[in-house]
Amino acid sequence: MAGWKNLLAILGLLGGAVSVLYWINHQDTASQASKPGLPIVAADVPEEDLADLSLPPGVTQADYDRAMKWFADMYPGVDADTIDVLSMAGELAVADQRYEIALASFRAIPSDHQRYGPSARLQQGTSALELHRAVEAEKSLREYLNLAKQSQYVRFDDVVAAYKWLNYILSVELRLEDRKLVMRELHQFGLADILDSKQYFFPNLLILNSPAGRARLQQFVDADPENVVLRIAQGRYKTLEGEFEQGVVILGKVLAENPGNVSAIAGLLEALFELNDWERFAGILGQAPPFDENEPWLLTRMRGEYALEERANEEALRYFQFVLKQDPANAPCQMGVVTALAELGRTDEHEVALQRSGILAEIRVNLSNADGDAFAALQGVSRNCQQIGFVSAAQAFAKYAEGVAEK
Amino acid sequence: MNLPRSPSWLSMIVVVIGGFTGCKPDAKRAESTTEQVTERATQLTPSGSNGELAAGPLQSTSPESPMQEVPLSDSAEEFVSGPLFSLGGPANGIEFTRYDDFTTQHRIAESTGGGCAVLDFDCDGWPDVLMLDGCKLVADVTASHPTCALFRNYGARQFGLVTSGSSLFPTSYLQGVSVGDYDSDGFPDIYFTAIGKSGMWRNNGDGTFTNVTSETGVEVNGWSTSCAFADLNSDGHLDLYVVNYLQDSISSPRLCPNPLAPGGHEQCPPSKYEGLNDVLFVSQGDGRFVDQTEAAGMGGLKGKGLGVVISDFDRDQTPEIFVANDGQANFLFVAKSAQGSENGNAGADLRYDQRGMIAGCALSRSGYAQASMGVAAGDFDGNGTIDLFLTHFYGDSNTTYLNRAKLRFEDATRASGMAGVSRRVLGWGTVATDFDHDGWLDLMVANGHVEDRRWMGKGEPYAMEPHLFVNSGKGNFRDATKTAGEYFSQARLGRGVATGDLDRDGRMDFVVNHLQSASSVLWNETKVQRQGVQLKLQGIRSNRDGIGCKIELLDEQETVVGYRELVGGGSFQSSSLPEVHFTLDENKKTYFRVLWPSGVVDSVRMGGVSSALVVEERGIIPL
Repeated sequence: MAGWKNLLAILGLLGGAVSVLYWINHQDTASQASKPGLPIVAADVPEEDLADLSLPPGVTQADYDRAMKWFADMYPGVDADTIDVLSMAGELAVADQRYEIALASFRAIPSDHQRYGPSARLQQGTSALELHRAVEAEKSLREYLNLAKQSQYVRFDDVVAAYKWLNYILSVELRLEDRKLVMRELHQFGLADILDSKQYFFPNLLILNSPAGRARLQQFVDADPENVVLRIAQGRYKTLEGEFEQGVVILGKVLAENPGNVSAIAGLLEALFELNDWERFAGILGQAPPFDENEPWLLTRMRGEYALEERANEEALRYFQFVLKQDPANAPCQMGVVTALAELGRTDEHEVALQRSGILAEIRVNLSNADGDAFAALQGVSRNCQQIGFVSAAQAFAKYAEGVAEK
Repeated sequence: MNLPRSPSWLSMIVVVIGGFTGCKPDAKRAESTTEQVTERATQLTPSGSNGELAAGPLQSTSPESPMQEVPLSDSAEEFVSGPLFSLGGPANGIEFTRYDDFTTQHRIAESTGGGCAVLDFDCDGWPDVLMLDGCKLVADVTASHPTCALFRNYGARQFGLVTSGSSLFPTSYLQGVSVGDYDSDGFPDIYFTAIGKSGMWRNNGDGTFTNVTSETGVEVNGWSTSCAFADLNSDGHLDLYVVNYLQDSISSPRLCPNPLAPGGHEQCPPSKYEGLNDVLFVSQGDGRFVDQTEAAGMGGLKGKGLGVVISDFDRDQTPEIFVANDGQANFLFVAKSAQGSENGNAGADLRYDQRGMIAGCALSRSGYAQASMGVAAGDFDGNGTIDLFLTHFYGDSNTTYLNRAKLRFEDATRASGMAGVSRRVLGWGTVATDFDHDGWLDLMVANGHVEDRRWMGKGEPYAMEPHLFVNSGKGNFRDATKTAGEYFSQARLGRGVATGDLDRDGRMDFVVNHLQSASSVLWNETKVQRQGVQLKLQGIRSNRDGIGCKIELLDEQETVVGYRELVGGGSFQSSSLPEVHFTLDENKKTYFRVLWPSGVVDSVRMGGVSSALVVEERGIIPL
């Protein structure tokens, strides 16, 4: 340990200037895709107080020494500080697919480290994902994105990658409301592609229970079997696959352990709705807190479905319309509006709502084709969006269509 | 003629109970007579080629009467065990495997397979079987052999291949079939749909057929799937609706490259293609048809249709046309006016509105345009109207639309117990009939994926077990697949399904055409507690087949205890025997009220236990 500390002290003496040089070297080789306007080189980097650092749990001396050697070989004449070495150790571990070591290394790098902090969070997130640790991955990626907003030391590609990975986690976990917020940022920053736009504008028109998502969720659950969010998603996947009773069992257990959890309540109501079991549905709905604007869309929709069942059509209409304000392309809620208006005898509004449902159905079909070379489908989505006043979506997809046409 | 409309005043007709030679020609229309059928049929010469059996004289090879009585079960336990089927096929003389010209290109045309039909082409009372074949998919699709196989029913569950002797010789890559007596001569004719040229084959009444596509004016050249006969304008003549699917080039089909897929391609989804307009052919009453698609307001819709059923959903005596579209909103064509005329211009004023959306049967309750394949129609919930059951793609549920009258449908999939059971299969042909004789319509569904996607590692099987759903009452279904017999435990690539009482034991059997494996005959071996009866309808003012007839089963209190309609079309690319099946409770006195498309109402009392009746249109037209 004495040797370790001596080494750190020596490295510390050289820290500041060498670090800047190292950063420049790194960026010279790796910043080709950097986004204009996002500076990648720091003007000044403060020195670290390395004396307090020690080997993080999970990182062996051998790993550390190997990383230091690699660093020396890559940057001859540059003295590495502890963070340099840990970062290198993490990257080497990733290359070797030793993600536990990688994770330990990146975890040890503080977020407020100007040079390595943000990227350590990103790499921590992706390493955690490799180990199917969804919670740590999400936390790290979110932290990275927060840091990236303030940091000058981020690469455009990395920011996009972080958004994509975070989006992926939220998709697998069926957290559409959370995903919408992430996707909004992605669009605000101009970083979205076609798939992102599909997910952002039409979260409920896409197939949720993809085999890939299903398999990934299972990996998440295996890695963290007691996680409530994951178990709720697991129950919802069962429902989406038609195994309603299994969904009820999983979600019922989660709810019993976490009374009042609105996501669990929403998922359980969804399963009971599919079973057409209104008696049990009413019982669970009775456990839900009063309506809240921030509750899951699914819960609000289920309130609407129950109101429809109870012939409380005005109330049903309000619930469905509330969801549609948050997620205008929510086809099930749009159909709920259609049904409620029909029951209320509001003929003219009913016809308009019905037309809207028809257009959403067309959008859904077009979305399945709307990829990077499908001009007609992209144009079709844009046209459909115009028809029902989805201005931003219409513009976004028109732009994608133009891009295809130019190609 | 000023008779009150009370059923008690309507004529009570007990019709043929005995020989079930259902093709008895109508005196006014027939070009042949029953005797002529027999005489001509005896002229069929045995064919030694293709391993076909001799057609033989109809009377000599058929049992004296096709009607049989199935032993009824006294055991409630046996009854509740549910429907049971034994697997037939080659052992019964039906040996057929469809050829689809599978390639490594994964063309979408290879996926839809073919249909089948149960029909009594020789009018001997024994339902025969027709299987549709494919051929090489080349630019000008014509085979040098007939792309169908006709199996004649000799009774005792024995069939013989009689295709060559019948001169039934379509050469297209066949998809679908509809059977109907378009010329009202008493003999069932056949319309084939195809990838390529679809066409009509007239039954000559002597066991042979003639291609009359040109003279009838019903050629469609493209990709047609299902089709249906029905008298849309109530002029007593069958019209024809042909469902078209996708615009694709046969010579240069669209391929979707995927380097990971076997052969470097995967099947392009239907959403990558343009749809096609369906075609409405209206009979002129003289054996010719006129394409009225545009005039009827059906043009320009470009659907992607796979299934069709024609039924009087709102019971206003004018049938509607329901088209099941693949990944598009379904169509429901509602006639604006449908007055036939007597000046030879029948059908000229047929006009339709497409009202699928407003009727609630275009989209699922979730607002999705599902990938609809097949459709079964029947009164599932016993409310006296025809409901719909649609089969769908893998990952989605089949859908039950219950008819709430006045052309309003409700997606009752959840309430019917169908929401979950079909999400891991891909459904095609489907038939609704009372397999277990409890009075409620059950459902059979043929399943199988569109292509082998196991390389994707998504866990989607290629071949799939079929489904059998038992109606527990009022349209609540339970999955009875596991106990329905060995066929239901075997994975296949099911496509077309057609039903009929093939052995005339009163229980409904069915046939299935598969991709890449032999077709099957399923014999209904269910231990039933009630006798089944088939009603074969013979229209006089109405169309000869009685398509569109509504039959009510009434008890002594005049309460309707059962309702059926002989609908046009149904299933997927297939044609079931045009008969109506009921089960009767022997402890209750019941009779049938037959409401003909012409408006004639007949009442029919069973004179004794029988498994089949012919009901001729004789009643009085109510004022």
